[in-house]
Amino acid sequence: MKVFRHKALVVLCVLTATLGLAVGATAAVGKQTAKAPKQPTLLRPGPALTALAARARAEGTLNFYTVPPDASVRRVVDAFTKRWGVRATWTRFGTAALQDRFGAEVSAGNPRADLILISNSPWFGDAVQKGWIIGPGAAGVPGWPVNKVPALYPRKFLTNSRSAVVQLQPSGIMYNKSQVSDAEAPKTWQDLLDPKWRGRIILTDPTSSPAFVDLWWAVSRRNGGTSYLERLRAQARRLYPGVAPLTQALASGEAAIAVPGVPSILQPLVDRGAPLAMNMPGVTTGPEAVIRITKDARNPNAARLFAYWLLTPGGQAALNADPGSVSPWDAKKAPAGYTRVDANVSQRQRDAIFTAFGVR
Amino acid sequence: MSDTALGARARRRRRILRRRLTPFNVVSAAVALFIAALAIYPLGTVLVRIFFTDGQLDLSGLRRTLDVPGLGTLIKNTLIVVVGSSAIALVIGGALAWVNERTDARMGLLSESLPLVPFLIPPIAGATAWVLLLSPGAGFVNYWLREVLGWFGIEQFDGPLNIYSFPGLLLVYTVYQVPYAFMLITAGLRNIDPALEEASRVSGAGLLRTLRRVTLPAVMPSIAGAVLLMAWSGFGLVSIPLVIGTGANIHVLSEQIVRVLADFPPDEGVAIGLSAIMIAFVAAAWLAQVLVVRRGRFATIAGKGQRATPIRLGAWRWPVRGLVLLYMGVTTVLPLFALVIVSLEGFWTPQIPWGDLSLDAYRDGVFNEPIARKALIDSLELGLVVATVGVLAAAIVSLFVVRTTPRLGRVVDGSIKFPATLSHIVLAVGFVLALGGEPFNLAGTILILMLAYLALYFPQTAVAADGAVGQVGRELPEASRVAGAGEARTFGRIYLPLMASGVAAGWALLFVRCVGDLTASSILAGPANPVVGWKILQVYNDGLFSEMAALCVLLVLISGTVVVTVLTFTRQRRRMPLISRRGAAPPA
Repeated sequence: MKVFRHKALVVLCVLTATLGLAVGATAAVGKQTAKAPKQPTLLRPGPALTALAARARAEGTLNFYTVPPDASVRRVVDAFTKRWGVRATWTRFGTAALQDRFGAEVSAGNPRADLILISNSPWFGDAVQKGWIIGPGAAGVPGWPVNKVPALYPRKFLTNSRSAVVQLQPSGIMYNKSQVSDAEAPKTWQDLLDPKWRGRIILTDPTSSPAFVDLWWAVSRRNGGTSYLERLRAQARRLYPGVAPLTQALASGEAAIAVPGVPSILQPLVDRGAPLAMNMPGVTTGPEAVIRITKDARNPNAARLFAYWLLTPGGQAALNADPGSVSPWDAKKAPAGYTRVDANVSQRQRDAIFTAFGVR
Repeated sequence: MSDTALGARARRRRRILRRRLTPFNVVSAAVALFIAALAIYPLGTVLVRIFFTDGQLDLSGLRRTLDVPGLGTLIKNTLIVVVGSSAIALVIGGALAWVNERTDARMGLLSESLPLVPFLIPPIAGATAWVLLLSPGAGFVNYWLREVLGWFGIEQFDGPLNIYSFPGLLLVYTVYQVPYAFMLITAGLRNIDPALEEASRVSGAGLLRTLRRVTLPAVMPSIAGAVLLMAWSGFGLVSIPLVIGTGANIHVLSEQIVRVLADFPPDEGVAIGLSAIMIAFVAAAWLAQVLVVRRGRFATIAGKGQRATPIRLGAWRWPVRGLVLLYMGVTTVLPLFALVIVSLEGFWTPQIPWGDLSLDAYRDGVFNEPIARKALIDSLELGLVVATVGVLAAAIVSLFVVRTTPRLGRVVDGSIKFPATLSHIVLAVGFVLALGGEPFNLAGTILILMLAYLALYFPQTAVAADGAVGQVGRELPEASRVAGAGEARTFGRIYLPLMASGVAAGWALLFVRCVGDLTASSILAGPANPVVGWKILQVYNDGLFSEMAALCVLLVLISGTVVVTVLTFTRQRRRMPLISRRGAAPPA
C-alpha cells in the first residue's frame, strides 16, 4: 500500500516538474515586432491630439472588452503601446457575455472597461439610450466632429446607433481539404443542399450569437426564405455551441463542411497545419466589430486615444492584419455580395430562424 | 399567574440565554450570519432589479417562465440526466469508497485519490475531452475501435460510440458526480465505528447482510449529503449540456438559463423562474438530508479505537482491483490522455502525429503568457484561502445549526444553502451589482472573487461538514464539557479532529470548485484579477483547444498535487490513535 501511495505522489511531482523544465528550457521570449504605423490620414485630428496623447500617457493604461481572438488583440495593443506609450489590458469573450458583464458593472456604477470593441447588435442602441456608452463624436475623439461623420469615414459602415464599424469578418463555407477537394467544395449556399453532402455538414447553433441570426436572415432572404434553412438543417449532421468547437470538429475530420466559418478562428488552425479552407459565397455577411467609449470611463483619455488610433490607418492595419478581416475603409476586399444587415430587422425573424433550425 | 412564578420564569429564561450566549455561540452565529448575508445580499440586489420596475412589483417574468417553449421536455431531460447520473454515481462512488475503506482490494493513495481526478478538470474541458474521445467521426476511441474492427473485416466510417446522445450525456454527468459520492461516503465510512460491522460479521451475518443492516444505515448521513451535493451540482452544470447536449439536441434547464441570459434583451425574470424549478428539486433533496441527519439513528463516533480490519476478498481481490482500475482508466486516464494529446497536437486530429508533437501550447499559451501564469497562481492562492476559511466556517456553522433550536437551524441552513442553487451567472451579476460599486467598490478585485466563491461553493462544503458533525456522537463533547473545557476548546480539541475526514473532503471540494470555477469568473475576473477559469474560457472561445488543454493539464497536475497532499496528511492523522494526539486518554 505504501508503495502505491508514494508512487502516486512522486509521479505527480515528477510530471509537473518535467513539464515545467521542458517548456522552460525551450521557451523563447518572443516579442511582437509591430510595423511602424503610417501617419494618420483618415481623421483630421488637429492640435487636440497632442493634448489628448499627453493626458492619456498620464493615465498610463486602459482596459477594454473585445471579441477578436487574443493573438489579434495582442498585436493591436502592442502596436498601440509602441506608437503612443500607453498600455492596454483586455477581456475577450463572446459578445453576449461581454454585454452582460458590462451592463452589470455600469449598473453598479463601476464599469471596468474604458472602451468596448464588440460585434454590433441591437444592444448598442439600448446601451446608448441608457447613457452607458458614447460614440466617437460625443466622446471628443480628435478629428471626429460631434453629431457628424468625418468626411473620410465610409458612411455605409456607420451603425444605427452611430457606432463606427472598425472591422468586418465575412462568414464563409469552411471545408476539410482531406475530405473535399478545392474543386468539389461548395461555393454557394445552394451547393450545400446537394444530396451528396447529407450528413457531412456541421453547423453552429444559431441561438449562440446574434451574428448567426444576421447571417441566416441575409442568406435565407436570397435563397427562398426559411424553407432553405429547414433543408440545410436536414442536411446537417449536428449543431455545435459556437464557431470555436465547430472549427475544431471540422479540423478533426468529424465532418467535411462547416458553416459558418469565421476567418479569425479558422486562420490560427490553418497556421498550425489543420487541413482547412474556406469559400466565400456570393451573398454573405458577418460579425462587424464596433467601438464605443464608456461614458464614465476610468481612463477616458486613454480610451479616446485608443479609439482615435483604431480609426487611423495604423490602427486599422494592426486590427485587420489577419486574413479574412476587412477594414471598412478597404471594403472592396470584402466578398462582392457582402450584405450589411440591420440587426433590428433581422432579429425580428429570430424565432422563425430558430424554428427552422429546430432549436426552439 | 403569580409574580413569583413570572419571576422564576424570567430567571430561567435569563439562565438559558446566559448559557447560550457563550463566546463560541456568538462567534458561530456571527459566522453563520456573515455567510448567509454573503449569498442573500447579492441575490436580493439582483431580485430587486428584476422584479421591481419603477417601484412596482412585477412578477411577469415568472409567469413568462411557464410559456418557455418545451418547458416540459426541458424538465424531463433535466430530471433524467441529473437523477440518472446521481443514482449511477451513488452506486459507483459507494462501491469505490467501500472497497477502498473496508477491503484488502484497496490500493492506498492510488485508489483514494484517482477517483477524484475527473473532478479536478474544469467541466468545459472535461466535456470537451469526452467529445475528443467519443465523437462518432473523429473521437480517439471510435477511431481506434474502427481500426480494430477493420482487422476483422468490419468497415465502419462512423461510431460505434456516440457522445452526442442521452447515454453520452449521462456518462459525463456521472463522471462528474462520482467524486461527490466517493468523498462523502469515504468520510462516512471512516467516521463510523468499524467494531459494529465486525460484531455483525462475528455474529454470523454475511458480507451483504452486514452492508445492508449495519454499514448502509450508519453512513446514511453521508449518503444523504452526497445525494444533495449531486443534485446541486447536477442541476447547476452548464458546460456539459452546452458542449454535448447541443450536438445531441438534448436541452436542460441550466443551459436554457444561459441561453435566456445571452438573448437580447436578456430575460432575467425567466432565468429566475427556471432557477426556481431547479430550487424546488434541490429543496426536496435538502429536506431528505435534513431528515436523515436529524433522525440521528445512525452510528456515531464514541471515542473507542477506530481501526477497521480489512475484509479479505480472497479470490475476488484482484478481479475487484481490476474493476476499480478499469473504472479509473476509463474516467481518469482516457480524458486526461485526450487533453494531453490535443495540447501537444496543435489542433484536434485522431491521427496522432507522433513525430510532430510539440510543447508550443504550454510555451506560448502558459509559460510565455504573463496573464495565464498570473491566472494560474491567483487561482491556486484563491483556492487555498477560500477552502481553508470556508471549511472552518462550515464546521462552525454546521455545529451551530445542529445545536441551535430546530427552527432557527433550518432558517440559517436554508439561508446559506439555497441562494447558491440559483444560476451562478445570475448570482455573479448580483455580486457585481451589490459589491462592485459604491460603497464597497470591489469590482476587479481578488476580494470580490473570494467572496463570490465562498457564497457559491460554501453550501457544498457545508453539506460535507453536516455529515461529519452528524457523526460525532454526544459522548465525547459532553465528556469534554464535563471535564471543564469551554465550547471553543471542545470544538478545537474534539469536534475538529473527529471531523477530520469530512472536513478534509470539504476542503478538497471547495478548493477544486474555486480553482475550476468558470461561470462566476467569467463575470467577475479580468486582467486586474485574472483566474484560470476566465483564461480557459478565453482560449476556448478563440478555438484554441491546445492552449485550453495545456492550461487544464497543468491545473490538474498542480491542484492534484495539492489534493493528494491533503489526503496524505489526513491519512497520517487518521493512523495516529486519538490518545497519542491528545496527550491523554479521552474521557470515556
